[in-house]
Amino acid sequence: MELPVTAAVPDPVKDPRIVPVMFTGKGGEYFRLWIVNILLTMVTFGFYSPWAKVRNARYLHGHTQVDGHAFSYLATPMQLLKGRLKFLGIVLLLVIVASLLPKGLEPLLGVLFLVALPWLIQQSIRFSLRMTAYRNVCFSFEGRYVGVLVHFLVLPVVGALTLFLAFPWVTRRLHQYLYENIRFGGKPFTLELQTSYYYFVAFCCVGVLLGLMAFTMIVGGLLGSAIMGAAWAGVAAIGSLAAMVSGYLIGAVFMAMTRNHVLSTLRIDQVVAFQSRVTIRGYIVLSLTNVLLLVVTLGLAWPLTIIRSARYLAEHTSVVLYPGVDDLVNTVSGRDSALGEEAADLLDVDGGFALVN
Amino acid sequence: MSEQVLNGRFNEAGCSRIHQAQAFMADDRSVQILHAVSRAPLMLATSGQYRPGDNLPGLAQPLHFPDGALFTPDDIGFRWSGGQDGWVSMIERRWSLIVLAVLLVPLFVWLTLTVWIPALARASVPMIPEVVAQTLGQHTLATLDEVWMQPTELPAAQQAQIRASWQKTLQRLGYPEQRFPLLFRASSVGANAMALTDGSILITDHLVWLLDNDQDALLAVLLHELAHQECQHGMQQAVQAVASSVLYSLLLSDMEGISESLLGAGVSLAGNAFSRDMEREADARALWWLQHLGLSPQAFSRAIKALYLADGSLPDEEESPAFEFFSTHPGMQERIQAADSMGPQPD
Repeated sequence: MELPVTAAVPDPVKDPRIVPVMFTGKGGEYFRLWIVNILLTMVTFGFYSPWAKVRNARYLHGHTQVDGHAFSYLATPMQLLKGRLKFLGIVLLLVIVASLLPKGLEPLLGVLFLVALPWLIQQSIRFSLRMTAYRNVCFSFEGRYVGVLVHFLVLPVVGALTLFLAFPWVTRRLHQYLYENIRFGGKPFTLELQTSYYYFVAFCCVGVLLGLMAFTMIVGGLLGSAIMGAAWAGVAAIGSLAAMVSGYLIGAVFMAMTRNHVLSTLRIDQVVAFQSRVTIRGYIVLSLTNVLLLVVTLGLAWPLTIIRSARYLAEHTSVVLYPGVDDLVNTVSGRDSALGEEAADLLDVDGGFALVN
Repeated sequence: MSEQVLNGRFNEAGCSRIHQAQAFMADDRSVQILHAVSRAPLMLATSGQYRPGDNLPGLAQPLHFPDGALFTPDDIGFRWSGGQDGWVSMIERRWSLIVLAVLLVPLFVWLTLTVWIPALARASVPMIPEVVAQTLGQHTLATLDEVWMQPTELPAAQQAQIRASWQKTLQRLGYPEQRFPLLFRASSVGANAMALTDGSILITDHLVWLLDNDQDALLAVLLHELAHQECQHGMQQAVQAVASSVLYSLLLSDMEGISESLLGAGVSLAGNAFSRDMEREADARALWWLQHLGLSPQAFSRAIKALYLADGSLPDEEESPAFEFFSTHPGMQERIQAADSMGPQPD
């Protein structure tokens, strides 16, 4: 079929277009979807869970749109159900084997797990990406066992051995490896991350930490001696609060800075590039208000926090589309084993959807 | 005979090419997709060949064709007939059902943890092969020895005497005398006794010293542990722990929000409730055995008093029900009253 190609915005110009990422999900809508998912999962003793996961993912993917086209989540509930049953079988088998193992051989299971871990990580990233599509074209992951082993397990250990001085470099290597091995329509992403920038990020994170500690000492000490006559009591009280908040603060600093850096250089030649304008202040406000919402509502505001985060990130991201995006061919066949999905859940890995969202 | 016409977009199969298109639905439910500008036919599918996509709030419902192509209507409110998940979105749109769900979900979490999982544990323990209980008991002992326990400091003669009297008691209750062996250990955890899943009963030196002058009270404690063995409480707890964590990680993994806020606390509180029920069951059985052996149930309340005193609790301290919520054992007053209500000494 030879047909004139028209995108959503008919634009025959060969120049790249800069388009915003739109997130159109709504808090109330998503809350209802979420609570019904939970209810149905519970009344079916968990059997609805794969359907719930798919509905949840398809809602969030479908409401994330670039250039008028939505992302889609391709995994089917039956695929996930089979993956989970397989996973459950393997776990049961391991439990039985472990209980029958003679004394002294237990470390063997640990070794087995370590050997399997890079494969699990690789499978989980691969699955999440291959199940994500944009304009009918799937993402994929080309990382192999050895590469995953080196970047996810060996380098962090090396980084720890250097008293964490090499950690910014290790993180840069990990990000570089992760994104370089993502494909969209078979085309590789490229990016050039700066090690010096990662050291700058680490410097900022440590600065925030030190600042918080100083704040705790001064404000806590003053308050404590003013109210209770005991400076240490104030330091302890403010300190525990600061410890809770500092995780979110440092996380926000790290996320905002690395996201901007990664997306500024990430691209597929003649297809796509990105712009991220997340600010540290904006990200901090977002994380802290989300935590506050969760605490006040005893967790019921969870769906609302998801919508807020997705909307914030979308509003601060643009995508540069080259004409090549209209001519991509899907290279992923589709029916993957969903064992990787279970591994993804286990390891809490997010997929290519996290690229823009 | 009118055809229904829909404007939308047509995604070609297996590539990123997208065309503005129109869908024509005939009376026989066949669908034809034409290019919006050139009017070229893009797809023709009869009823049964195409499949409506998910019915999601705020999103257009696409139509999937067998080769992987899809048509997405511009009207996000349009719904194709024959979708599979219409009932879910119907529930989602009913506010009364949403309010009900908000109330039912915490109730369900609670019921699962306090009723269904314990019931599952009770029902499944008899089906678990003996070798699992044996291995689990040995592993537990190995861990205890590594972390909490040191070799006993009791003289061999005292150990032998306690063992002999325990074996005699087992015989009188109709058990083989080697079935529930005693293990003596010194430990910093203080006066304590525990039933391991392989049938052995571990008692600490502090417990023996604490009840040194009261053989019947020591026996009451051992009978309490024997009751745990008899009811296989150790294995029930193991099954409950496994079932809770499987539920937690596998089935509820999609609702991270609720698992973070409610389940985390719920699992341990429900575990405590389960544990308190087992303690009550073991208490009742120990008291019954004491009477059966012709001993006073008071021996049990003396042991409880001594144990709680050694632990730092005051004998007349009243536990509030709210405090019980966080505890693995029933309150002391309740346990003593249960013993005292068994009536005066039989002899």
